[in-house]
Amino acid sequence: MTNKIHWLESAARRAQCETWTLGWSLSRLAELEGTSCRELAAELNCDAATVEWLFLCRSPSTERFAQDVEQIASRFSLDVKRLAGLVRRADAVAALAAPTHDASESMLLAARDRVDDKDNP
Amino acid sequence: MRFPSSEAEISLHQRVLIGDPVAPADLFAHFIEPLMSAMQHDLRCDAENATDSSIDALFEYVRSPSAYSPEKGRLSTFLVQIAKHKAVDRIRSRSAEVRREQEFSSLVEVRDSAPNEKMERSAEAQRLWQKIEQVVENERDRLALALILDGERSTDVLADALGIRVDTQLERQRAVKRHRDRLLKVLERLGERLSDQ
Repeated sequence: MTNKIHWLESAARRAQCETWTLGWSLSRLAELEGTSCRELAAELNCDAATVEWLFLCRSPSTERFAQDVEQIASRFSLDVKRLAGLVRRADAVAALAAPTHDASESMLLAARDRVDDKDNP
Repeated sequence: MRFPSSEAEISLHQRVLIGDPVAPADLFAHFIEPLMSAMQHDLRCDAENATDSSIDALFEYVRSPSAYSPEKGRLSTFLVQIAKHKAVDRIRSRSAEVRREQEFSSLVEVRDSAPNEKMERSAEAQRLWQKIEQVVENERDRLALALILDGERSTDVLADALGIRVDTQLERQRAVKRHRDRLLKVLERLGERLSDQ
């Protein structure tokens, strides 16, 4: 059992680096909101090990969101509404982070264009 | 701690391919322990390396599941192969790290004014390794020799270090034995030469 807990913790930690996992989006949400894995578990009314299993799941796709969330909730005996709310919040965080990144990139490109224009009038 | 049946493997693979959100977790549930067990049994690697390499292998597979072709063999065999390569990479980088640490510690100790037995042993090991590097020019041979001197006995690890690619386990064992005997002969000759000096 100790061995199992050991690998599960390691795998959940590793999942946070894979962008396709729920571990990636939920860990970013937790980071932004300053919450721990235990608090995520409390919100979902489950134990910390279940959150680690959740981290190993693929994030629900936008096309089949309801179906995917239901499937995950059913597999780990979670409340569908609570899980859906959490995943929506995590998606919102990811969506907010993405345009900021794009905007700063496009601003840099625009600045570079202006410098190029000055160099080559 | 057995791998799932062939049918169960195919079904899991299909689920991973279509992007089933729970499939990666189920994959871990069914494969991680037999994988870790295979790593420890076949490569005799430590529990940490067995765990990390097995985790890496599963993530690599889920990232690009189409790299696996069911017609070429079982999913478990495919995953064991990935995990073994990951484990060998870790052993290699750890051996290199240990060597670097030994070289560094011997250099630090040389700078210390008070000589002691440990320093002499380390300096002597460093001198001997330099002699080995002069005699054994091939990098793969040097890596295999470092592993052998480090007590590595696994055929697969040594075959990987030596770049041996053969189909059967028996051929691999024979090839590794041939190379191992050759390298030990080189060491023996070097020892004789050094004792004559």
